[in-house]
Amino acid sequence: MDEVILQHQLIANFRPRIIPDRCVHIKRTLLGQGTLNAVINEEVKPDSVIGHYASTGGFTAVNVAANLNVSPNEASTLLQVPIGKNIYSGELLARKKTLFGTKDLLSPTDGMLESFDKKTGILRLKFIAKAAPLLAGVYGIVDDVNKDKGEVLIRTLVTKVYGVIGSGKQRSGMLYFLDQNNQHLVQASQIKEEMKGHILVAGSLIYQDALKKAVGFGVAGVVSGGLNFATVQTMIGSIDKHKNMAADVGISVVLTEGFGALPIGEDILNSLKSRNGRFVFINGNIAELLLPSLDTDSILTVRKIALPKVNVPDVTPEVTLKQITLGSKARVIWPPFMGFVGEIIAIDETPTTLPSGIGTYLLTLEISKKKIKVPYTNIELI
Amino acid sequence: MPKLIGVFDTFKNLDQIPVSNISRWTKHKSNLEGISNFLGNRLLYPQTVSMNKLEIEIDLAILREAISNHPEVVYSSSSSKIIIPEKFLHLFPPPTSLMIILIQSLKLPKITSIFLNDLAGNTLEGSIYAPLKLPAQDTVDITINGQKSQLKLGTIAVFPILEHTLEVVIDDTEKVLLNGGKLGLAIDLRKKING
Repeated sequence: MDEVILQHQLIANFRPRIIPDRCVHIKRTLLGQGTLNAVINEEVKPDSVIGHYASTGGFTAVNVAANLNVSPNEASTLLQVPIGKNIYSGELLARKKTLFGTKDLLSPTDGMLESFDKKTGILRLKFIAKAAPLLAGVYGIVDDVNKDKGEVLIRTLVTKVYGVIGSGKQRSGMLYFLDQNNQHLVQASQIKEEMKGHILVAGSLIYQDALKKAVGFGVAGVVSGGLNFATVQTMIGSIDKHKNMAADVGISVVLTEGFGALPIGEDILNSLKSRNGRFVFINGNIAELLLPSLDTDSILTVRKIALPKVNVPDVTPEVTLKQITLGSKARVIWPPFMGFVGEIIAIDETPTTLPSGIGTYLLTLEISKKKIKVPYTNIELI
Repeated sequence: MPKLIGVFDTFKNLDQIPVSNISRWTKHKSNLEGISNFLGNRLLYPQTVSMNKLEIEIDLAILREAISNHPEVVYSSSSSKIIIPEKFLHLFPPPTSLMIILIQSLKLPKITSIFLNDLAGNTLEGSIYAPLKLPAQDTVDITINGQKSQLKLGTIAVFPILEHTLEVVIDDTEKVLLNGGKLGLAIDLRKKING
């Protein structure tokens, strides 16, 4: 490097990652036909019921022909309940007479017999709508109730967590850690149907086929340290923020570190661990997670803050410049040690030539239980 | 709000470059996923520097494709000038690699001047000489400020000469005044496709 950079002039990008105790509006929406019973100015808790709706879970298929070992055409004659009627879990669905008695097929679930395909022998069962409560999910105060849209606006205290990039609209759900190992790589086999509506914490990376499976099962969101660049491109097209229109492929995804297999940074990981099994919000298009306060006393703070009901679009906080100083917290943004978070304990006074041939000033970072040296350009202050 | 940027910020649509186009210039051609993720992280964190030779190789490959797709970012054909940020010297070492990338990525005339741009403006720091007519023999005699060398036809030679004024004689027949500097002098003896 030609120019001499004095120690006190080293600067780095500062990216806000965790912003605690912010008062925000969150929206709770009926997921089907239903009614709201929340009232304006009502104080709510996470388990407060603010409405009810009919939950329609979709469809399931039962291969009657294969189960009874008959031809598809014959299977249609063995149904014990006519098409269009309801059936309940465990009830007799179809029966075949055998030499030794009968072979019975019982209904696997509550549903309505919607249709039967005589070519394949498959029966389509539509799940019966069930009444489900809409819970507040947060400690807060109801600021608005829109019965036409089925929406309740609640003022609440949250910790805002920001990743580096993401995709998908705002969704909510229970936070669920797929594995306690932060180095975890998520395969399709680990995605289960019962994860529907959850926000999964993946670990270092979730493979594209696992993501597709999660979409199919109705998983609300995924938080991962990394994702393959090619996978992200299929979701959002371009990572150029000026070209990137808000995208949604049926799931909200937030990457906390970058592309490839990268463990979630310890700063964000600790915030997420404290919310395991709790209700959270995810907005992939601005790479944001909202973690509602777990403190019952947070309502005291919420009472003192008024928020406009105007629809101000949410944005990711800007990345700014900041001087690098001893004691600053930093995150490594380039391999090796990408994603690691630590404290700057030393700043070199003379440049070092890296194996790449580039000369630069190195910082000493204390991470976990070890010290590493990284170029000052390869960190972000947090 | 200001934030640190990188040299690739001046090139558009880098994320649209096919990864295979980048990998063909690297030794580890099969690691398409790794190169793809490298490109993504380079775009996400443009201010970062490469740590080792493997990463520099990928950075140079990206630069090569970026210049090929958008030559107008660094090259003015009307004035036969290449203007690149001074930072290129720092981020894409050594200068000889950078010169070769420029020659291979751009369609250049007989003489091209190379300027480095910094806060003070543009400074002439090198040149590229690509004779239009090549001799019949396999080698060419080149004399630069009295120093003689023999170059093979079909090659690119880069001379890291800091002197700004260079008298270059080709095969004792042609004499031309060129410029050296931080990027030196490059002589392109490859066969030209279009005359």
